[in-house]
Amino acid sequence: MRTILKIALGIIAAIGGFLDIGDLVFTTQAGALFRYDLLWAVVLGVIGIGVYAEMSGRVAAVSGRPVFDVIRMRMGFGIGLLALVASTAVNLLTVAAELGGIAIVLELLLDAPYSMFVVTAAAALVLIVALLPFGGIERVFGYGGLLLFVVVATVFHQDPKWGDVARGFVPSLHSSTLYLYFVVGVFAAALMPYEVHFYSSGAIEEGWTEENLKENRLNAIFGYGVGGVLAVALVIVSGTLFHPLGVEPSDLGTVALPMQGAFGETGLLLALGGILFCVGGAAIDSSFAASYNLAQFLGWEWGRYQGPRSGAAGRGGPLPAAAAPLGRADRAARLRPGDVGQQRPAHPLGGGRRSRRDREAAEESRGPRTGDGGRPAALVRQEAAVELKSLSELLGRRVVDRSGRRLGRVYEAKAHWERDGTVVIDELILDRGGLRRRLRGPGGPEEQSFPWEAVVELTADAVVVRT
Amino acid sequence: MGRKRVRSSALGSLLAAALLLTAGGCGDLSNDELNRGVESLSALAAQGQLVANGVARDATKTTYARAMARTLGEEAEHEAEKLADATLEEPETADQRHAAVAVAGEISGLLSELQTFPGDERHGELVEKHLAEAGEKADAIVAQLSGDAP
Repeated sequence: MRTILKIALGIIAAIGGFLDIGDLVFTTQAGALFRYDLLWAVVLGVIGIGVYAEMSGRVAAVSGRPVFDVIRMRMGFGIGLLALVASTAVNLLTVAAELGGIAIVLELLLDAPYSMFVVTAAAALVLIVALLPFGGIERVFGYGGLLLFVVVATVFHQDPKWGDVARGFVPSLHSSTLYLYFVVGVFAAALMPYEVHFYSSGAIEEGWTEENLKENRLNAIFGYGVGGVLAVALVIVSGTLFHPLGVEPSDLGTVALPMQGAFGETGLLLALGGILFCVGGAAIDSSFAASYNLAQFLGWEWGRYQGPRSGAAGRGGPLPAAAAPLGRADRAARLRPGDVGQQRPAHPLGGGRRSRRDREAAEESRGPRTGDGGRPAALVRQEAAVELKSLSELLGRRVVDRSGRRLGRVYEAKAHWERDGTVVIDELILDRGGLRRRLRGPGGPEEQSFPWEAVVELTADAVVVRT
Repeated sequence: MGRKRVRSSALGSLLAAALLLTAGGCGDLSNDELNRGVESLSALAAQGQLVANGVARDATKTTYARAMARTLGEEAEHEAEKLADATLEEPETADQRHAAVAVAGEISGLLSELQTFPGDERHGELVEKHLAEAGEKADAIVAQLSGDAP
């Protein structure tokens, strides 16, 4: 039962983020201009986003890395930066558009100056993100978005010619450039990148593993599928009502008109409420996605519950996303005791990326505690007396030889994943070049590496190696 | 010296292009553009009718009707200004242009009335009826412009 509820919640969350202001206005315009002829393009867009989201969720669940992290890791700095700049620009524009959308709906509901509502919407967005837990945000906007099912009811109330509607699902090409523009537009409106970046990062936040693959598939198929049903319904109601009258819907308020026509004030209020939650959900999803992308690109530890102190600044600098060999080490991995001259308790790594529930479970699994303020014990063979909670704690640490001569800083670690669930560190890579080199990725004349066997001591701020 | 001349001539060309573009932006209104402008008036009238129908049936929220009427009215006004300011490419369509500006003004006025009385069913009914007439006038102008008029 709990699993069913979890899946239902995921589906609802997917609906909440799927229909944004672009989808709402563009699909309505598509119906008004081309009646049902663009229904196939809507379906194509929904399949596209569903497949992409399922793939991203699967990659996140199995590798422990969200899609943007993988892009950065696999494609390198240049393409990663391009993707970051492009997605950040799109996210900023999307957040601005969604805020404008919220303000328009509030104006329609309350009839006060629009500019006042833009400020109110921005403040409300900040408060919601700051105060509500992740699950709460999903529930509020997911359930709220369900109000838009009034559009589906309107379709049946209008009772269009179903044969004509069915023909709209068969791809057709017109010679008009406007039609081709709308084909691309409808498809692109469904495939907004923030949705997938948010979805895959959310999978990490929720602590998904291979066990969640079925949940991921159901979320992607049904969540985006139901969102797609709403988009299809918008095209149909618009095509049925607006197309014969020659109405050219250009603003968000017009989207609600067919529901007013069908069910009066109740229909209107349900439609406006649904639009408000969908647009609000999209604003939150896209602002989360922008933050996730930036943090993942720079290699910062990130997460809904990750405070600024425990982020990059508190951890001695960004975690290089180019740490390809580390792979799963950032998630529920364990350092193998006694492997490299240090014995450590089993520490799940990467606390910032896991849900609160998982972090609590992780705390319980950390084994015996010493008397030093409740910190887990770190048994070190020789003189080192510092425990590592995550591999990223190594990053940015000074590396010195036994005489104290400074050799550089750790900017990367290579490790491999063992069958028994442990991560074995093989090598530390040093670099004097700082952030610039760190972002560029491994390799180059300035790079210097040490096998982990050369590490003789870990102090609070340094790694001592045998040269 | 030669490089300076090349640079100043390039600058001159750029300025000329910018002037041409600017002039083109507020230039002549073709028959097709006039047609599209009048068609958009017809669309605004149809959309206004739907809003007014909600008011007439007491099936809407007054805040929604008021805000929608305001938005549509502003669009109609903007369309009227655009049509009135433009220079016609084909002077023989001047009558249609004048008629279109008048229709735009009429639609804007009716929507303004709806904005003032968004909760009055009688006003809603009248505005809906008059917007339908204004829409028909716009359609008639479109038919004249495209040569379909009897």
